[in-house]
Amino acid sequence: MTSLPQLDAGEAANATNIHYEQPAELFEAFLGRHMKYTCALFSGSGVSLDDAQEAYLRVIARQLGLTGGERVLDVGCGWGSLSLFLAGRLGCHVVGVTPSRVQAGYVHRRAAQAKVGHLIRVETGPFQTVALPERSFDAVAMVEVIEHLPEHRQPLDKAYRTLRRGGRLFLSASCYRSQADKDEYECRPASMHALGLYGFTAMQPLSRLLSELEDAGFSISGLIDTTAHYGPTMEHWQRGIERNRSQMEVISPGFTDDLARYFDTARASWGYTAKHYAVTATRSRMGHTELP
Amino acid sequence: MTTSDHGLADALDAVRDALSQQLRLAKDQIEPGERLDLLPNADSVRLMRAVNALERRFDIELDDTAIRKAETVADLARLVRSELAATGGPR
Repeated sequence: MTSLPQLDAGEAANATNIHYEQPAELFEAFLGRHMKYTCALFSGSGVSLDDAQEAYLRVIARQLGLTGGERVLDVGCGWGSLSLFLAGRLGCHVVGVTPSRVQAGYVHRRAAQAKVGHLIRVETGPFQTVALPERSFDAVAMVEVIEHLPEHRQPLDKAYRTLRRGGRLFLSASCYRSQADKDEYECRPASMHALGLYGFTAMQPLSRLLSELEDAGFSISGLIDTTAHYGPTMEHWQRGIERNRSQMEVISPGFTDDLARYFDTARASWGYTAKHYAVTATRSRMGHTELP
Repeated sequence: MTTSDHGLADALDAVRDALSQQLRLAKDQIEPGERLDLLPNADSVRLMRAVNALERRFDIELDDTAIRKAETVADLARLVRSELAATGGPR
């Protein structure tokens, strides 16, 4: 009987770095202008990937209640799509966290080019171990990063402690559709393939994530179901891969086939065995004070 | 007396205020070293109301785990003081 590997924070970060420390050009070939490797939001058919990614970035800013100049922690900042957006559009002071040195260097370069270098700092290392001052952020974003963290209690406690009182958390994640689906599909070959591709990745049902947020002390203040948007997002990525297959093959032989197989499986799973959600939570006993 | 002792004295005074109100005790019956759960009239609801009164008075939220760990009147006062220090609230 196969089972998921038991990794600590450092081992998981090393494992995911196998994927995320590949050259940025490999990902520029299919992720679009924002280099956002997460779900987009399509307002209709015919919307471009770049516009749909920007729509998602605006939703994150809205859910976090950002209006300009706030201090934001971007956990799992990737190639910096959210950090650059919040610094560039809203003048936010952003600290990004990624274990990937390649991503950290990329974000610093892009920030300098966009003349927001003074607004963005990237901490390189596992979120669980990087030093961050408590109560020092107005908002924390964890966009599709929790899946790469083998244990959730410590990082969610840490996210809570880094927030000021009343500060908000935006957490989006791919989830199993139910606990029964997790039990059934977690160790299937397609799940093991995803694990191999990303180094470490594991989904939970939403109910589990919500209970973990409650245990960390958060008030749950919002939930968005974005499942319908991940299939189209991956379809765009796959078309990019097809367009740029030969140049991607030169950089990393075999990677395109691996990715395409994963996207095929994932696209089949949305709404059937998997869901994609965004949760907003608040460090506050009473939650948001404004009326719904 | 140092500044931090002074902050603690203020917090202790506020804690004794809150407890005397919620437990219907004279303030001078509430000694810093006394266990919260052994104070006359104490029960979990009244103690939680005292915590709530303190949080509202200072506009703070105390850490839930730390509240459960606070055994004595002075423990609760230290918790209030450290929260005020951390949030830069009214001392």
